[in-house]
Amino acid sequence: MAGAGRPGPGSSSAAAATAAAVLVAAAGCWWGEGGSGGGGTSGPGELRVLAGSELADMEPLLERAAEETGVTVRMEYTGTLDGVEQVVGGRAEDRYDAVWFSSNRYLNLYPEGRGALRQETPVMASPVVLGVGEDKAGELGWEVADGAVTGVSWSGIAEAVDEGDLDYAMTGPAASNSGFSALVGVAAALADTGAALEPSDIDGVTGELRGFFAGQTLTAGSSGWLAEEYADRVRDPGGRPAPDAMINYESVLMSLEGDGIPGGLLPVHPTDGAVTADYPLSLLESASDGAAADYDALVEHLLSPEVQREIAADTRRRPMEPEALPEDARGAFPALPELPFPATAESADALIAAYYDRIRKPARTVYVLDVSSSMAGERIEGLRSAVHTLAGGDAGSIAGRFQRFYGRERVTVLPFSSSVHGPESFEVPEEEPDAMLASIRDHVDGLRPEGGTAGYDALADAYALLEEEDTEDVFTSVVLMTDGEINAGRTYDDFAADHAGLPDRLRAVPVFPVVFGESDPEEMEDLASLTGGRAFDAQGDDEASLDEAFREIRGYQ
Amino acid sequence: MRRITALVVSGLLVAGVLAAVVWNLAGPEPRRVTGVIGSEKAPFFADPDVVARLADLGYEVEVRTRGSRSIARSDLDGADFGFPGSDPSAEAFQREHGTEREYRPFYSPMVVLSHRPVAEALRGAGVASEEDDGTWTIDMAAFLDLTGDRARWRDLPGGGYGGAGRSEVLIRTTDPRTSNSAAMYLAVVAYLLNGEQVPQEPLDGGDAERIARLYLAQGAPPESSKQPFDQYAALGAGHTPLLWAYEAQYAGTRGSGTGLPDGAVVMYPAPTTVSNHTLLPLTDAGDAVGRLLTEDPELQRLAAEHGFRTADADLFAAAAEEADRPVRAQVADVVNAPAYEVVEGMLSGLEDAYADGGMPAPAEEASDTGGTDGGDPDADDADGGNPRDGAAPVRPPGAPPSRPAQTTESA
Repeated sequence: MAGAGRPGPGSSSAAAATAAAVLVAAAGCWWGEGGSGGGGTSGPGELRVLAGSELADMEPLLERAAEETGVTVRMEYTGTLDGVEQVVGGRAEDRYDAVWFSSNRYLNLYPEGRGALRQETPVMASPVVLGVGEDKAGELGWEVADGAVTGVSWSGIAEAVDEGDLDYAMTGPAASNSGFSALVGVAAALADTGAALEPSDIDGVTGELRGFFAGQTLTAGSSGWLAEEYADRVRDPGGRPAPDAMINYESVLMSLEGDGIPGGLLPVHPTDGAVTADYPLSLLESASDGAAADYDALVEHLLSPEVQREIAADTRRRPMEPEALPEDARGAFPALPELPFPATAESADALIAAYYDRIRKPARTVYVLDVSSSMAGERIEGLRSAVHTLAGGDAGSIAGRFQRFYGRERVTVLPFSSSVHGPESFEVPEEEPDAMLASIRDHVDGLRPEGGTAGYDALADAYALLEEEDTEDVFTSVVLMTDGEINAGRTYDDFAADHAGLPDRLRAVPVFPVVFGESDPEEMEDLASLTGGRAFDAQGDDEASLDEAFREIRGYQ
Repeated sequence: MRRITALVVSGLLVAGVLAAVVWNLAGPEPRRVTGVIGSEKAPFFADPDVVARLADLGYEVEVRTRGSRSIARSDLDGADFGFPGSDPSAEAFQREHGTEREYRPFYSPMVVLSHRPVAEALRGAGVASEEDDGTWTIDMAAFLDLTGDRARWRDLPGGGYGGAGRSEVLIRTTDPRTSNSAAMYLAVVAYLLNGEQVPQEPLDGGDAERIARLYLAQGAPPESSKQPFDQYAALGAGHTPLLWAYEAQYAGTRGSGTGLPDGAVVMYPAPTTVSNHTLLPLTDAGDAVGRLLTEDPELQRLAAEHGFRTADADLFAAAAEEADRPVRAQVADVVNAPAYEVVEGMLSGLEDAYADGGMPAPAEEASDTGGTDGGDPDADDADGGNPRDGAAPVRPPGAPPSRPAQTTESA
């Protein structure tokens, strides 16, 4: 293929001709001279790729690709939704030559997304399925063959949930492609129309979906983090037992064996099919022709039988060249029917909205917010703006639609300074939430910074508040935002001692600390780890850093 | 109109050494020529052997890909030629740019790629049959009846196919809003729904709804023809039971990164249509490239190895035999695509259907965008006598530019 030996300095004219035949692109630059088309600034032999975080496991293979093709891949990682926003918003084209997510299907529902991509090459594949331990499969009477569960449909899984025999972890569909693929697949399977879901089909299947998703007891904004948390809980439950099963990429489920889960989780290959990620490495329309040549070389390398074999062995993703695998290794990857993905953005968005507002268990969130004197000025403005984003201040963006407070969510704002202020709680209604969202916005606008930082006292109060409530059938979590060292009231050690004495159901409530201003990153990491949460960095110079952290946390709520 | 009963391939002999070759071999620098092409030909132009041969002949060809709908209307600033993959696009391009010259170096009939158990299930349902040459025929009218009933794979009469879960019987296509391949499917479906006549205006009402559903029920469509082919090849019969594809994707030994799956089956739809790759020069340099692609034996051989049919049928047959892939020697039962305005009108209707979240476009809107704009002399051709209405035979591909100016001007 063209570009296989991207010409370096002093290369032959034949090679140069090869490179010149590569498709020229370039917004605003038509027939560039030689290899200089486009407005990109990648160096020769360097491809800048905006990638889904689940592709970090490709780094070793990409290093080898660099040695063999001369093309160095610079991966920058992001979540699926954020990546889609960057591309659709036109913010990817100046900074990257290509994007690489687990799927482009959601991106392609938007005209701006379709227009931004010049070429898409599926590199490997992995269906999104349920994974279950061998013992649990036996308990449920499911048939196990060749390291997988066979003969079970999505309805069969729903029945097991309904009988109270099965719970599972799954990522949030607005934040993560695996959760989205699962939602789409389950909805298509349970609606059983045989064709792509239309908005009008959703109401009819809402009851069944509610039954299915009643089994979801752990959520997260990233499939990788979910798998780690799951493995942690299997190894050391510490009051937070792992769910029976996990919905994730087949490859992630199969790789768990390496994470200390004996036997890993067996993928359930549903008789009615799955939605398959095909990891298309996608050249942006704006890429220079030099980058296009690099792209061709990289794609050719990745699709070579040897590399395809390594992908299957190292990442457990299915190769796009089935014959690359020795015959005895193909049994692990039986062909599955593909469940249809919605044809329109309207259908997809309606399904996501229904999931959060009506179908899954409601969210219960407590926002423990620092209003000490150091928050005065830009910081309190940033905080207000971040809460405004979640309270529906920006319905025009993808994030505004899916990262806002959900229908049926109970939100408590619990401010603190030298002491803990009175909590204020809001119930977001399932229908017409606008008035309640406006009250949340008004409430944070009224917060006034003053005094010290009694963060752990406030956190203890948050748990005390939740102790009064039924946390069984809700996704309960606490966000702690503080901009400085916690210097009043309880210390971290005091809090940890208190936490150890909490009942299990409260120990399972994660804290998501936002590392902001002068707050102590290490202590916040410890706090996250203690409570089963995750720390989010908002210390960037960007004014929107707090906003971004709050939005990212939505994926975990 | 009538179907064409056979696609006649001329035995035109390509002969003669071009003066241009001689001239250019003497020159040190290849001449740079730029073209706007349909993406299905990108692998051909990226093939190092094609690049090298063109360089030997004195040309360095740089191409930019464009969707079939936009190729005619896109800004061609500096381009030497356009190279769309369908007659309607070629027609619109010539009208848009006021050009007449054209070359047809190669063409590719549309096929349906499948898998043996799927094909057997369709045979059981009386929709497909296997021919002596190892290829299959899919009866598109019978297929449309199945889709009208929303039949599912496992429920087909004759036993059905159980590997596709509970999915409906549908052919996987690309995105009709952007991709030429999906527009070719539209040509066949519209012909059948229009009572086996090439439509003279966009279909509306129930027919438009049926067409919209054939696409929308598939779910989110792939953008290019390569991606679904890769999935067809890699992910099994249950993933992609039926794929609408260019024969070239199947028959070629070059250009495609992915082989065929075990048990791959090629079906020739009855009727099918043909993707005529038509090079439309805008400059003398573009003209020279068109002539070389059509007349240079080496480039013609390379095109055949990319799975395209050329004027010399033996080249294609030899390439397919080397690839060990059964192909049909003569593709019978071919329908022509409707006129550009008619196709465009129906595609606009589909665009609305996607935008409306699955609701087909209102009928009157669809026909408003049709080819009967008052005062457009070209559109009037659609009223009758237009060679493109299905009556005229497909011209022998590879023939020298032969379409006279009056083809699109006279009625």
